[in-house]
Amino acid sequence: MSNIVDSAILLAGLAGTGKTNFLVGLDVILDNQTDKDGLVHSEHASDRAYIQPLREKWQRGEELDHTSRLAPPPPHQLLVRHPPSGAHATFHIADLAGETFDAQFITRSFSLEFGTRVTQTTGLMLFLHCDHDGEHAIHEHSCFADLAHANTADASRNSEEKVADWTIEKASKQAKVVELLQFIAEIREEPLRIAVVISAWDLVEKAPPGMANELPRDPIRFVAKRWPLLDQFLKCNSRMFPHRLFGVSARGGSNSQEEIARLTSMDQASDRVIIVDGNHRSNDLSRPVRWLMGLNDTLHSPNV
Amino acid sequence: MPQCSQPKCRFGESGVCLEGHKQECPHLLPLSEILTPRPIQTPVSATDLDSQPESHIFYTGEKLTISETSQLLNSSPVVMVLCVGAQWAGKTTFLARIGEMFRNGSIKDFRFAGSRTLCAFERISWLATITSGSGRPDTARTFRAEREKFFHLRVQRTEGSASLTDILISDLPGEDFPNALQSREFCVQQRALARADHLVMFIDCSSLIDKAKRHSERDNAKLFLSQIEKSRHDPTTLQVQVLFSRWDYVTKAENRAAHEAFCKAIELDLQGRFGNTFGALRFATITARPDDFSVSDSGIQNVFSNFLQSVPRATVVHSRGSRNPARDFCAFGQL
Repeated sequence: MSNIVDSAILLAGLAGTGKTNFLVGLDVILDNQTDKDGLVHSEHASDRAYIQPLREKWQRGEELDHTSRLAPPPPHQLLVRHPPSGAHATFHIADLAGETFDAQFITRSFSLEFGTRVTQTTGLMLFLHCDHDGEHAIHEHSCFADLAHANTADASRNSEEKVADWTIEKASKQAKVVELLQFIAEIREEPLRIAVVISAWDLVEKAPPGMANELPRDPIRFVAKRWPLLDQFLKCNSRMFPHRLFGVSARGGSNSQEEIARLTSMDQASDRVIIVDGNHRSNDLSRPVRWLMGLNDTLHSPNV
Repeated sequence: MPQCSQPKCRFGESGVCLEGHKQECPHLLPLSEILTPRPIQTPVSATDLDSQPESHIFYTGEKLTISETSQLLNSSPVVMVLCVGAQWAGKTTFLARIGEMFRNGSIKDFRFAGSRTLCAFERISWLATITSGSGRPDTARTFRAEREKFFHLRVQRTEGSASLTDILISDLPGEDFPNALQSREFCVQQRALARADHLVMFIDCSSLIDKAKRHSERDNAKLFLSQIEKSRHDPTTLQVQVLFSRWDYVTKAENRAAHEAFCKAIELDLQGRFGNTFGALRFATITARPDDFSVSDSGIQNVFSNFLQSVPRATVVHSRGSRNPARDFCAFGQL
């Protein structure tokens, strides 16, 4: 780690996928680290104008404001120390609005600034929300279909239906995410490590056991089941995109009054955080960061 | 006189609204906007654009043009597939199902490794999604303007070699199928037909069960293969798959056995005439999107696997080939 002086990590993901909650949760964990291999703050950055108000809201259990696309915050600086090696590092994490990534898909372009970030970043954290559907549901089961139409098959194709025209913004979420990675591969020559973060993992763990097939509790199986196109793409392109999958609940629960009461009743705010990585389970949100930075390639649990 | 915001409307000059509105036309500009002088647009020179690029622009995500296809063909070995058949025979639905099966992970022997045409795949499946508001699954038809445009897929086998294979798939618009039957010259001019490794010919079973249509459907299949035999530079480099599409029309028909026998007779006839003409001649039945929603993808899986049975042809660019990529289709010695 001694040779890591200044690094950057890019957070990417569509709107509402938990990027800001992760960043705030990480900031809290770095002050309350319980994992002996985990990163800790060496000191706080001099400018905490963006993170500090968010951190206070997070600690009160309040919902965080949506990150503005029009006025994106500057990359947040983290000054960290890796206790096992005693080394120090500084890295910058840019928290861009989810709409930025939607806009990239629609306009088929990256801004020059984003392109520079892509080529210079140490690693990418790709956020998916566990409750988002990667794919549009297709009419495959008769229970979802209007059989009256089916019986009049060819003659009256959509004659009186109010069918929405396809526009590019209606593309499925997994198509948008895969396209983002394909765009990155267009301008970046070096391999890029990707930590795939499935956020709101507490919802997966609370799902009834009968739904285990639809909502697997293992992040690898979860992505294979719910985001199959992305799963296949990552497997086929593992040389360009070495990756690891994490289930994360950076907030710890929902926004309901009961949940907020539960979250704020914990003695340590960091206890509400969940991170699942294969068989490993803890609250150390620095785990994916360490992996992206090559600090711990011997994470014990199997993954990918 | 008020002015209209629609460029083609001459309401300001003639008083006649393009859309037949009177004073309440929503496109009329407020007077204040008309009177406000607009800044003069200074033309941006190409040099300025070159020196100050503002963004990285990527591919469109829509079907590849001949030029884009040619660039891909020149960069790596590619399997090229052309789907042909009459209108509504199910060509586009077949392609839509391939895209859907990769997106839902149900393709068994291959993994999705990438695509330059993700938007095009999303577009053709849109009417089959519940989100679209369509009451039943449907597929947007392929228009004539889309002729010689290509879907792209990059795939990897789930077992064995980790190498990636590029596939380009085009479907001849159904409204062009009669032209192909009537004119060998038309067939010769189709670059996709000249370069294709695989030809998928759709015979529409909804026509085969109709006594008034079935004979012409059968004859058209024979005639088309005959046109290919005569117009293709080397027919033995072409693998042909004849698909009896919309097979559910046969299985649901009252006299199913008779229809199956008719299809078998077509198969034997085509086998007798063209069995030694092409690199391969295979037959299959598929129901890409049955009306009773009993989706079975095994037929599509088999057809797709056949595309990747053979080693993709590498591009051999002759030294006299044009530098214009659109012309480099000629470099394959097919034209």
